[in-house]
Amino acid sequence: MKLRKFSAFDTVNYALMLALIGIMLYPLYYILIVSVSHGGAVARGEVTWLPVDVTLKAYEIIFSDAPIVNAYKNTLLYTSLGVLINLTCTALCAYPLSRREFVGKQWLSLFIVFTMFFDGGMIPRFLVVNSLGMIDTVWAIVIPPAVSVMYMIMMRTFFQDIPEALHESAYMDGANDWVVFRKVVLPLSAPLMATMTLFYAVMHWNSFFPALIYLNESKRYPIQMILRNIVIQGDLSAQSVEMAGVMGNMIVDQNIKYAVVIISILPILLLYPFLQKYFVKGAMIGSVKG
Amino acid sequence: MMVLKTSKTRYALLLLLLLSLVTAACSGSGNGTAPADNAGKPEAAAPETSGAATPDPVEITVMRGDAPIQPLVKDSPAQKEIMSHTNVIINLEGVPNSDYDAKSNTLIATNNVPDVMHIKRADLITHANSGVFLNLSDYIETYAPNFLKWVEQEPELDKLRIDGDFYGFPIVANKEHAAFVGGLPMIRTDILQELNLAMPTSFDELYEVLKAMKAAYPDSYPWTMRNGAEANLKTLAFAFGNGYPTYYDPEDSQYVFGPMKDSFADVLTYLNKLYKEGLLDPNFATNTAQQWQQNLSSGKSFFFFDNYTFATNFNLSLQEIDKTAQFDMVPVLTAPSGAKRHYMDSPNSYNSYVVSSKTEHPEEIVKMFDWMYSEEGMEATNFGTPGVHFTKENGKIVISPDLLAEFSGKSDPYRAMQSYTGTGLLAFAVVTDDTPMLTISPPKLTDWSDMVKAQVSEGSIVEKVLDPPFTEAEREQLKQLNSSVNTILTQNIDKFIFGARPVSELDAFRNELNKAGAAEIVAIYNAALARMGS
Amino acid sequence: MLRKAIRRHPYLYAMFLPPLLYFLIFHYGPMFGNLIAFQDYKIAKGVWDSPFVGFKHFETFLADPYFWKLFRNTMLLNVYGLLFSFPAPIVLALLLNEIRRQRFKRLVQSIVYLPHFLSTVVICGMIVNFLSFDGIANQLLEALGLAPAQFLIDPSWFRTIYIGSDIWQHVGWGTIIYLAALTGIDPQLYEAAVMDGAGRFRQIVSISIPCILPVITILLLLNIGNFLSVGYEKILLLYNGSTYETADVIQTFVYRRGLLGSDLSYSAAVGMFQSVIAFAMVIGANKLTRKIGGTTLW
Repeated sequence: MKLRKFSAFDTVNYALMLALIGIMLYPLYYILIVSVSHGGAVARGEVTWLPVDVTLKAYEIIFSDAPIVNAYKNTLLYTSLGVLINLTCTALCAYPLSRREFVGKQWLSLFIVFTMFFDGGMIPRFLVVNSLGMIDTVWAIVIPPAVSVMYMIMMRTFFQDIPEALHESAYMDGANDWVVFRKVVLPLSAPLMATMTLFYAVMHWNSFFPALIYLNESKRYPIQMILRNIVIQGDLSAQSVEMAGVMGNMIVDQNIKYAVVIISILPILLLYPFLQKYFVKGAMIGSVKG
Repeated sequence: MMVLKTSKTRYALLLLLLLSLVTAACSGSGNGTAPADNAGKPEAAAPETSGAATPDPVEITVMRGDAPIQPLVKDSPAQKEIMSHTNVIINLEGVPNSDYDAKSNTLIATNNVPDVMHIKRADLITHANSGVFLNLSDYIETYAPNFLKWVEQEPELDKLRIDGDFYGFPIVANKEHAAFVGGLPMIRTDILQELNLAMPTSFDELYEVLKAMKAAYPDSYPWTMRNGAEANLKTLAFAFGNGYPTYYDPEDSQYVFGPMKDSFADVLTYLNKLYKEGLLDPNFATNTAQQWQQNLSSGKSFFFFDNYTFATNFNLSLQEIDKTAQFDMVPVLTAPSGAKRHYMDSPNSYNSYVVSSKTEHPEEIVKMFDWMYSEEGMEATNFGTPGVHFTKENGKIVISPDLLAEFSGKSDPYRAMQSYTGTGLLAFAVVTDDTPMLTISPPKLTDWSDMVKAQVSEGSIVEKVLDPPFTEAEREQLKQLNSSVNTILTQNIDKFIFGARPVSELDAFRNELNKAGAAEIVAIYNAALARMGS
Repeated sequence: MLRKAIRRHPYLYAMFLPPLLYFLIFHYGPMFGNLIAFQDYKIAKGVWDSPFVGFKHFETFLADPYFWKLFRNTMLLNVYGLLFSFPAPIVLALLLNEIRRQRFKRLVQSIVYLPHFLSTVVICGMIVNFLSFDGIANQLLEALGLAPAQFLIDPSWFRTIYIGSDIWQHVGWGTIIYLAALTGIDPQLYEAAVMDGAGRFRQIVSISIPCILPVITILLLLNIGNFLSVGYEKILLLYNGSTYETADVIQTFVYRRGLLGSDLSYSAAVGMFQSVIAFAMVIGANKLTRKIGGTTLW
């Protein structure tokens, strides 16, 4: 790491970054302090910069509720299995499309991009998933989103960046495409795979709609379904107006809502720092097209 | 070195995957089957019915929304009661309330409805003709005498008939023990005392009271609202002698388009006045439920015209700081036009449980629901196991003191208790009885409910009625007309209250609404109403 | 020619087979569902037996003058998004890339993507709070001696609030892909530039940006593909009658209509309309980038 003089540019940059940290962090900080504050104080709006009457009661209430722990297990399963399938399928799709020798790659790319725009809709997709017997199984959660067109295109772009010289020397050593893929391309794609892992993991972690539609037994529900139920309760005005009478008074204390928010995002927040070490500079030495 | 790092990622992922597979296997998640065919489940034989003559219990799936405040439990005492009286084992599946509609509509649209499903009234009407729901008329004559008795005594239920037939079992209330709830005026009586003000009896007096409160507490917004002006107009406009938007006026005995009535100007002028003088929360158009509750729990606001049961929560929060703070009910206020009437929500939920047309046990299901409409069934699905959770003394229901004691310490004792026994509107019942709520809740709630009951007998509080049944063609038309009319209404109502559009322009506004089809909407409603009478 | 190619590179085609099957089954399989845009879809009859009505639904909304207002609003939000939300993560990524102190850089990276994880409902609750009449925003204004404003009621503020909060929520997350691309740049290029006397700014313009241009182009094309669809849950939570002029978009209107009674055919028709326009725009943009010699989607 070369030592650079700390220029004016750097001063402005660092100041800007500090400001950014502030405005990005405060809302999360606010959610955290509300979740550990006393319910009554939260209801009266007394919490602004510091928690009031610190208590872990909200978390106790949530974890004593068995569905949350089970939902966590489910989400972990769906996320890890899902990401594995995602990485595999996306890479198997993106790599051939990045190769010049792949005849028909233009048409096939169009074929795939077309699906981004024209979608049959929720009901026909349900019928397809149903006819395959996947309803109420983990497969209905991990297979339909196997390849995200957007991420696949990004992967293809990165694969295209790998210099042709590396491929040629491998071919000359008698390697076939599969070996080149495994032994040359993949090792050089560590930052890419780390990025894709993060993207797909977050996608699975946040997803609730496939689970809502395809799962019937509540023991298979992922954590987002429970989270939405608690956080949304009484907020979307169309909903609250519909429910009159005794049903209309469905208050979920804000400190519990926010405790649920913290619990649901904490694990995924820890994933990024874990993956950060793979974003190593100069990972593809000599590979950049100027 | 790079190769190692990549392999490490892959191995890490594989390890994570294995770990989660193991945990998943341990928690017993296996392959499920489609909800409709549950008849052949292995654990069908229940220990209680071991007699030679009794048929095997029937197992069905019941799907309904799961509210976070009262989580659904499986094998609750209420369900066990249903099993012992009707020989039906219920597999209760909860779907989060927040997204229930998306799920139920998908299941309906793909004809994959479980044996029994809870749906809103609007969805029942929309989809009854789809063939997805069982036409109950074929069965209720023979198997559901209790239900038929209810239909007789509650004429509003006929509005749930589609082309003369019933497609769902509606949820009704035992009016003797129901809490009479509605959007009603509630005020901080301790502040009234402090400022030596009398309880207001009219909206004009209310204005003076709010002004005095603002003068004493300049930082306050005495009247705060949630859900925006339109939602509040539904109750307020009625109180002012008209209604919003299309409503049944008992004085005209027909449907009227509220904004067309003269007294509509009164309510807009009134709210505008309140806003200008800082008596109405300036955030009324955008307040979230959270902010609204905060205002009332912290003493920023002193009056609300909304579901009065919230007051028990507000009183609790307020009294932590100030023991004398108290929200109490205001008797029906008289409007400038002389009208003295407020709305009350019907205790009947009118949502329904529908039966899948593909179910394999239609008769047993109908018989089960019929038992739930009987007095015995109503008690079990609202109170729990007789003798354990409640007893009947001289015809009066007494909730077991042990049960009450177990839950009185929770933050929401009523709902925690109901969740445990698996009873009530948010669990599986077709007749709701509010005795548990009135027993375990603060006594103020019963006082307010009684006050409402008294005013109902006086005639100053009116129960909301359901829309008359429409034909499919009428529904299509209404959808188109309401789309346009509602957009114009939503765009302008706030403007009138903010003063951005003067109330003097009301006539021009009425013309716009008529052009968009307001008059046709009313005509359709009245035609449907007339059809009912014949 | 295809057969020759398959024989030369059998593994490439073998690799592509599973994903191809996936797209056929799960994306092209359900495509018949688009038919309901041209029918009066009845659940009882299903897709194959519902009456065919051609362009009836399209005519219904295209002839409605209010629809064109919605179209304009939707389009404007998209255009502002492309003008402001799209470049923001690029700028931030370039700035982050310039930070030498690795630990500080990692710290900023880990914090700046946090808002992305908060759900729309939570974010909108905070925005409404922040911008309420006595909220923090107005408190700041009063401290500066200015009059408080009703931000959420004023239609002219809506787009700013929508785009601004969008940037705040997603700029950090958006930098991830650009940073990944920036790590792939050969440090020797920078060293050579320094030796030639290039300043920091010059380095960014001449090295960093051109090297990640393929990624930028592809993401831009994909973004254009989202034209005419806007995150409507957020609008539902932030809009109200007074801001309909600028805030009401196609999807919110269809949503309100759906509340009055499900109308699958109508919403399918509207969806198809949006897709056709977005697709046409992407085709155009793709042709353009091909002409310039940049990366293309296909």
